[in-house]
This record gives sequence, structure tokens and C-alpha cells, in this order.
Amino acid sequence: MKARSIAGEACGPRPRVVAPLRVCCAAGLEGHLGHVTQIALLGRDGPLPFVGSFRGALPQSAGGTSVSWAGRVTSGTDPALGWRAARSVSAALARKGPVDADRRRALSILWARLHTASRDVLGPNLGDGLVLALLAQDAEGIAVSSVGLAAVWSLHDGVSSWIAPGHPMLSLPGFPSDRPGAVCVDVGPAWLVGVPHDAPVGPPERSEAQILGECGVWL
Amino acid sequence: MSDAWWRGELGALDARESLDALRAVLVTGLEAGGDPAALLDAVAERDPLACAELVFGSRAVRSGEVVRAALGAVELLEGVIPPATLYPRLADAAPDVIADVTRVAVTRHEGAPWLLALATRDRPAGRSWLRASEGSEQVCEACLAAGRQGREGFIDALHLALEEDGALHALAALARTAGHSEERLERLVASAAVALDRDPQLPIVPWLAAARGPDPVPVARRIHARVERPEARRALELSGISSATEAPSQ
Repeated sequence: MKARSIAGEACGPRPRVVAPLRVCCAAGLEGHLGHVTQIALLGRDGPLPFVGSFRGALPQSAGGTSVSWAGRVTSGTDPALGWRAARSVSAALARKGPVDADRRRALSILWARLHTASRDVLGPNLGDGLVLALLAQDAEGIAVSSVGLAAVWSLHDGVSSWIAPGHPMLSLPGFPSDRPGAVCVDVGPAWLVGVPHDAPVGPPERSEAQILGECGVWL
Repeated sequence: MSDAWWRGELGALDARESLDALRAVLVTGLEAGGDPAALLDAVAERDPLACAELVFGSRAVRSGEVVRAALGAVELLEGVIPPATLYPRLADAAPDVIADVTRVAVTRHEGAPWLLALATRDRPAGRSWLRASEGSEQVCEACLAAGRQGREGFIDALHLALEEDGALHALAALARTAGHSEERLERLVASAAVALDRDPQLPIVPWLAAARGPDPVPVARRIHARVERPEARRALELSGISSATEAPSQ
């Protein structure tokens, strides 16, 4: 399934393009200094909300860029299959270790690594249901890119919408044939929470801890 | 006559009019160590209500053997007593055979809402229900819901289902409900370790990940520290708990 392509529109006043990754840098998105941004993905409803889900990170590179990700693969319900698929994607993203590039290039490198994942272990749909949010951080700020998200929430002294539905960075699920676009900001919130395409997108009236629990993150 | 009745040969007997005599035969036969199935089958065929009277009515001979025998005629009993009433009465008549009662009830009425009421009679509540349903998702979730409502025993039963039967849906329910509770998490770890020692091939880590969140490694390492069998430790290690790409530190 091809991810919808994005352009720089509606991404803030200073869109810049860094080939091959389309990037928009938004000054208007709320940010906070003095912390590292972390990323998570909302789970599904039901008894096994995190089948095929994964979160990972790599150590900071020599140049000071760190990367992390949260996603899920396979639409099946078999935990063993989901675990295998999730580990395959995470292993592909981590395969060559820390990403020594600025945050924009780092995302581009991670998308390239994704395609080295063995798709025959990604469940019955061969990864067509992939949902993935990538986060890169360097001294300049953070960059976020994704497939399969309907929105992104921010958790920082409350819950708010960080990327609203309809934003061009958002796309359909699946392995992207073109590298998805990205959003860059100088500083990010404490947590970014990806809302999968099949989840309710409204910013919830729940506590940050509750939302992180719904992401399978137990602080 | 009593020998013939004990063999199920009732002749022209009016069972309901002869309950005292039938009860006496039942008591004598049980005291002799016999199996009451033939007698109760015959009475149930003749008059199911008379049979019910002997099993759990005012003239009941309350014993596990009698209830087990009555389960052989349960189709006839269900014809005159609604299952939602029948099975709890059978369980009340002989609590020591509630596992047998529940197994038959689940076999004949899987998914019936009154099974929860039957399960509350068990010790711990829900244990036989979980076992009879082979730890199905539906029953594990029902037990979890009952436990969350404060009904005593259901959470204990989920732990036993995991420990003794390797019920993975029980693991999932317990893992989800552990939340931030260190006490619940520690108990989950202990039960999972017992389950793995019984069956090192249980896919504990994938189920933990599916139920609790994408980073099962911290919990899996605690289980690893608790298991006793080397095969169980090895199985956990093969699941990837020493992965180099763990979730970011939280």
C-alpha cells in the first residue's frame, strides 16, 4: 500500500526540503526545552492491545543524534506471530547501530533501513498494515515522520493535539514506497503519542499516565 | 426390590410417591460403595423432578457420587429445571464436585451468562470455569471483570489457570490489569515463572508483549530470575529478552 505523499503545505512558515526526505519545519508547534522527547503508539482495544507492537531506540551517535521509534505490524491476533514480526522491524531499524546524521537525514536513513526488514515474517499481510512513527533528535531539535497515523498527541503538562487529523505528514498504513514526509521543530514535548489510523483521533480527556498505559508504557 | 431398583429396574413404580423408599435404597447402595448411576438414570427417565428431589431437593442424599451420577441424566433434568437454576443447585448439593458440574455446564451451555453465578460457588471462584473452558479468552476476561468488580477469588483463579494449566489468556488478563501495581506485577512474575517451569515452551514473552506493551523485557527478566529449570531460562533467552534494541528507558 502506498503512503500518501506529502508536500510542504500547511507545515508552518519555513518549509525546507531536504532530499530525499520531504521535511517541513514548523515554528508553531508547541515545544519545550530541557528534556528528551520520547515517542509511543496507542494500542488497540481488546484483550491483546499490543499484538505486533514495538518500541525501540538507539544510543546517541557521535554527532549527537538519537533516534527512536514506535510502531506495530500485522493485523493478525497471534501474539507469537506479532512478536516475531515486531522484532523483525525493530531489528531492521537498529541493524547498523546509531545514526550519525542530522535529524532529517537520520529519518531518511531509518526509512531506508526499514526496507531491509524481511517482509515474509511480517504476518499474513506482509506488513501492509504497518504503522510506524520515527523520531530523531539532534542539537537543533526533533524531527518526526510516520506512516499509518491519523494524529499525533503531545503529552507535556497535559494532553493536546500536536499533529491534527488531515495534516499532510499523516498517511495510510503500510510500507511506504516513497519516503514519507517529516515535521521538524526546535523543541518537542516530553512525549509524542502516535494515534493509529484506526483509532479515535480526538485529544482525550485522560491523564498522561493513562494514555501512556494505553500505549503499553509503564513509568 | 431394593436390589432391582439399585440396578435401575423400577417396574411400575411411581417415583414421586416412593421418594422415601428410593432415598433409603440410595443411601444403602452408597454405603456399600456402589455407583448410583443406574438408579438415578432410571428415576430421571421416569420422573425428572423426583430425581432432582433425590439429588438436591428436601430429601436429597447430598454426596459427590450422587451429583456425578445425576450429571449423566442432566439432559432430562434440564427438561424440567432451567439450566441457570439446575447447575448451581447441583453445585450446592456437593461442592466437592463443582469441577464436574462446571465441566458439564460449560460443555452444554458455553457462553451462558449464568455460568458466572455458578463460578462464584467455586473455590477459588472461577477455577473450574477456567479449566473447563480451557482458559478461553472469553472466560478469562469474564473472570478479570469479576475480579475488578471486587468479587473474591476470580483473580486467584486466573493465577492458578496460568500456573497449573499454562492459560495464556489468563496471563494476558493479569498482565493488562497489573498496571503500575508492583504487588500485582510481582504476583504475575511469580505465576509466570511457575507456568514456565511446568512448560518451558510456553510463549510467555510474546503474550506479555501483546497484552502489556511493546517492551516486555523488564518483566521477562524478572521472570527469568525466578524460573528454576534451565530449559525455562533458555526459552526466555531465545525469546529475545537480551535484545539490544529495547524500548527507550522510561
